[in-house]
Amino acid sequence: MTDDDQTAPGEHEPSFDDPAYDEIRGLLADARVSEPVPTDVAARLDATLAALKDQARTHQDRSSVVSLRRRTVGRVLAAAAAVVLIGAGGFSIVRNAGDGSSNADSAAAGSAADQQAQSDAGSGGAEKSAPNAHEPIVPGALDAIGQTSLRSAHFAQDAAATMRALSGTITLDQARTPTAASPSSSDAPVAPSVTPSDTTGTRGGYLANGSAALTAPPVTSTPGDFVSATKAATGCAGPGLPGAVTLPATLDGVPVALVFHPPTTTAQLVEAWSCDGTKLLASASVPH
Amino acid sequence: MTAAHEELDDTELLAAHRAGDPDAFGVLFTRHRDRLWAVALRTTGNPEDAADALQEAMISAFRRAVDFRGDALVTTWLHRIVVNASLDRLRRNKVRAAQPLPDDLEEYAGRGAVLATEDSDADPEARALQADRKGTVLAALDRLPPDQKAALVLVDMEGYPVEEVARMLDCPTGTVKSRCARGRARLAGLLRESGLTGTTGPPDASDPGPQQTTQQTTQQQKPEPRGGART
Repeated sequence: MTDDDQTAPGEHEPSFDDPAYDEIRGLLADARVSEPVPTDVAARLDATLAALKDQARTHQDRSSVVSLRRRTVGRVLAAAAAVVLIGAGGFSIVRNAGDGSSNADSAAAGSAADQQAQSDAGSGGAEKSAPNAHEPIVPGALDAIGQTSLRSAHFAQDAAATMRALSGTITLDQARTPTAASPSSSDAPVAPSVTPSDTTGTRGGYLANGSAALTAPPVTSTPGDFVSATKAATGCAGPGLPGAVTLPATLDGVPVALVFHPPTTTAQLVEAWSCDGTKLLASASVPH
Repeated sequence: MTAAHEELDDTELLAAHRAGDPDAFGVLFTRHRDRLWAVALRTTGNPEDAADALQEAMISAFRRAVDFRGDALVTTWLHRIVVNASLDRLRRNKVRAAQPLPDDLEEYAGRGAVLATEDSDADPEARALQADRKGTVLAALDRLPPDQKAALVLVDMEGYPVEEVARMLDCPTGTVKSRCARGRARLAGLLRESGLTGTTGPPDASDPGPQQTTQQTTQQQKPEPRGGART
């Protein structure tokens, strides 16, 4: 029901079957479209459909790859010995450079690496890996104008981290102040601040061993913290997909529209679109 | 796409798509896209927005097929997505609410929008008159609130039964009837202003419409519903 469905007091409410409007109905019927879709529109739809099919095929391929990786990821992660460094009011995650999406979720791996992390903490809690083997990432962090920053090379992890930040698993304040410690300056010890969530082996949705868990709660509405940024980014509306939540973001430093599709029972599709909504730049299916 | 796909009904095609058949959705959407195009075109009011809305709807349907629960016809589900995409676009562009009569009817005709049903054998004067009348109706239709416009497009223009339109618009049948009735009344007032009709209906409450011109009148039948027998 909308305002247009309401009848003003004293206003005549016309009847649906009123024969007085037969002429109007006839005029409307005469104005209907009987031509097929124009050829240029048909071609555009066909091209879009082909892209959708390619994308679906790619997702299927990725799922297969992840399944295979999960068989060995535990052993790989146990050896990674990455450490999460939590600074006051900020967070940073140190991981093996170049491991990309191999930071898949694995409870077994998390458990094994937890032990390693606790061992590290017991011996000082500082970064243990060679400085040059690590690089900082700040997934889901907000930049100066309140947009979340993602990287195309690690889009799945960054999207998942963003979703966790939006869900409140970690706070946006934490995300806004990305780090108190530069992982490259590991010779300057940083004492990790311990939060209650640390005891569960996860921190901000990331396994305590530093591996990026690829699971995240779905995003189904624009979080209040993002409303002002969303309004300010009116020039970056993206494709305007119905039912999706769109937030302003940057991908490799370039403004994009980050689109969260309606979640399924198992996952949520996240896409980075060009601001004008004409080009899909990156996508990932993030399991809950 | 194979000949076997053509043998499948809509529900089977959607199920095949959900099961991973890469061609099933294309067959399904192509099967209905002319009618979906017609709805999008008349709801948005212009070919550009209609094309965008149809594309958005296709993407959405492709990806949300898993959410289809089978409690409505597949075509109803598709129409609902198309109408929603069209209304979203229409509301975004509502600044065009007071759109004047299009002066590019020939261009519209080339895109299959306005003069699509013209009989090429009719004499030029009759065709011009018919095109003018259709353009006036469409311009008036564009001035209606989106919900009333969508109801009229689906019920009076496309000939879908009220019950099915209620499912498409996700509202009670009474609401569809009310939107249609009020939309017709407003349309009648607008067309009286333009001098197109003079015998239609009581004056619209929201539009006094004092003058009753008889410049042009038409007597036409209700449209036969598309796609087979409908009630």
